[in-house]
Amino acid sequence: MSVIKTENLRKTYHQGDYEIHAVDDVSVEFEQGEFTAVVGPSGSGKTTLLNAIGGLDEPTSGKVIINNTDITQLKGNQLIDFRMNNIGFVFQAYNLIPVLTAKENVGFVMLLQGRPESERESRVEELLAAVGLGEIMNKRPNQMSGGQQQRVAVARALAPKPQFILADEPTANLDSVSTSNLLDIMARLNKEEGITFIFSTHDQRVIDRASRVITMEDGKIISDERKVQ
Amino acid sequence: MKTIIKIAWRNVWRNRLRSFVVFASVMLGVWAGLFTVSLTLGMMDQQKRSIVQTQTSHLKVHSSRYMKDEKLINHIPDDTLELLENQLKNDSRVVAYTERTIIDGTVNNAHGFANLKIVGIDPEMEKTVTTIYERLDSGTYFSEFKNRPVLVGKSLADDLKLDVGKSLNLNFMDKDTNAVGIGFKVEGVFNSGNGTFDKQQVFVRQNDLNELLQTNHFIHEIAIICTDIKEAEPVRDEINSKLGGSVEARTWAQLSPQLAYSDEMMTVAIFIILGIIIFALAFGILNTMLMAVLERKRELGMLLCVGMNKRKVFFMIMIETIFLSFVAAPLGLLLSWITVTYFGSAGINLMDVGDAMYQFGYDALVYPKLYPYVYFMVSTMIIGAAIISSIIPARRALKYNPAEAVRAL
Ligand SMILES: Nc1ncnc2c1ncn2[C@@H]1O[C@H](COP(=O)(O)OP(=O)(O)O)[C@@H](O)[C@H]1O
Ligand SMILES: [Mg+2]
Repeated sequence: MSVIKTENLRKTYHQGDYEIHAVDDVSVEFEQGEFTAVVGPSGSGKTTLLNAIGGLDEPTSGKVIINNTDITQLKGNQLIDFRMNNIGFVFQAYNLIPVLTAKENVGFVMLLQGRPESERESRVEELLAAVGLGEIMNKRPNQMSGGQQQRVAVARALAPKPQFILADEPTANLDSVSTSNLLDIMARLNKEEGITFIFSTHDQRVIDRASRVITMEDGKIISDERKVQ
Repeated sequence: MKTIIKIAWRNVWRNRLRSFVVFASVMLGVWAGLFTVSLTLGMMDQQKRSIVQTQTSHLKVHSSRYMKDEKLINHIPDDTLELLENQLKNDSRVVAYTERTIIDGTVNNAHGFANLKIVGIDPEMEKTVTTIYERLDSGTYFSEFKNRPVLVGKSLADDLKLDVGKSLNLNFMDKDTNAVGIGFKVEGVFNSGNGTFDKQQVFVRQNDLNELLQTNHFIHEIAIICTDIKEAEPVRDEINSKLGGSVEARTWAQLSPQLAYSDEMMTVAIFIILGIIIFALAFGILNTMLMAVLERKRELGMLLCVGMNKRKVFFMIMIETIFLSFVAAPLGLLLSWITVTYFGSAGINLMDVGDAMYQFGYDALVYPKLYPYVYFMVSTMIIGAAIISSIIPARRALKYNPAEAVRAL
């Protein structure tokens, strides 16, 4: 069953006189439980595609259908609420809230959702333990390493129990130990909780772990391989 | 909402140096503004008090004829005077009054010459109304000299090089317009705080004056002190309704219109001084917060990505701005209160400019003063300025597109 589907998705930027087709007529489907890497050279449109799927950016044309909802038709707070309840984001630069502790960062979205305190507490502790940060949950981001911050970001993305997680080059700023650590965690969550992951990457180690590899060039998908497990 | 407030509060402390600069400028701005206002108010209050205590009293009564022409014979008629005295004695709002004989005269000696009013007073009666007896730079108040004592003002004494014990020639016309020139002895030098006033009159004993004028008890002026300065108007109205035509009573505000006017102008001036300072502070805060919003573009974009709606982002920035403005404002108010309370009783000596101030009618020693309404006004203005200066950065934050904000390095 496909959870995410794009139909003839385009995003065109105008720069002076000429147009940049950052995403050029992309139709692709993602199945529940897939662990997909989107690869391709810099400027090939990976970030643009992920942002369109995540509803962060409005496409020029085409549809993004998530669970039978065309999110390109959602407006303002509707879209924000949809994102909050269905999609988790992990960014290259971690983007935690610097003034909140690890625990507060992870619980933040649940708080915005209005979940009760007891539910929040147990979920946050469970998630931080799952990403191996049970010990430092009261530290703030500037007291943590990059790898630790990115693991907090993954826990934050998972906290509201989204259907899938979009991660734009999540390991680009991490050393190899932190990278494999993070990949282990993501792979385990993918297997055990059935969370769908879509991440863009340059990193061969990440590509090796993916169950599906989509390659982009000049805004188009030029290959799409599913690995047999 | 609680979390938004928490984040906003912690954000205030994120860049400590910047926040402390804002705190310091708010605190010093509030303090400087209020202290300036308190000095001005203190000066005004003192000027008003000294004018009321030495010149205008709460109200004065003159005969209607005297008001048109200040001549010796235009004194308050005897029958009216009696009615007036009875009325004043029976009015519980009237604390005290004093009767004065006033004539035009000149004074001269080797050092100079001056036109002035010679005011004949009953020393004991005068003490209940004016504070001239307390405001002596040197000498005594009609207690030592038996023979024609006179009190002269400091500025006149300076001009004519007068001193206690020196004699002084006063020239005037008696009842029959015969010229009188006679020596008085300086018993004291008073300083009302107003150089012009001090130059324009001398005080002598009423009995001495009436004897020289060959009159008995000619009263030209009655000065009155009420239980409260606010009673001046009703007391005036009663006198005018009962004895109007023959005499006319006027309040301090009528006797010294510029004093009443400056009283009113003061509120406007305070508003303007504080307004300018708070406007400047608001600009500083606005600028700081605009920088903060710019610096945190990616973070704010992320908040929009993960589900914080625009209204919440708006409030978060607004609350942070308001916190930033408010942390130091109470400290500024407290600091002002402490300095004003301290100097309000100790006084500040504006010695170097004191002499010029004396000529304009201000005392050199200033007691700063603040009324509760000023604190209230400044607090309200800070709240208003904080809210207004929080809206612009908060709106700026709303303009961010989450995808672009997250991409931004
Ligand atoms: N805001 C923008 N304005 C103009 N061009 C943009 C903008 N964002 C991205 N692009 C262009 O779109 C193309 C795809 O960019 P991007 O999706 O970031 O690629 P990738 O993530 O694969 O490196 C690039 O050529 C980039 O320069
Ligand atoms: Mg990219």
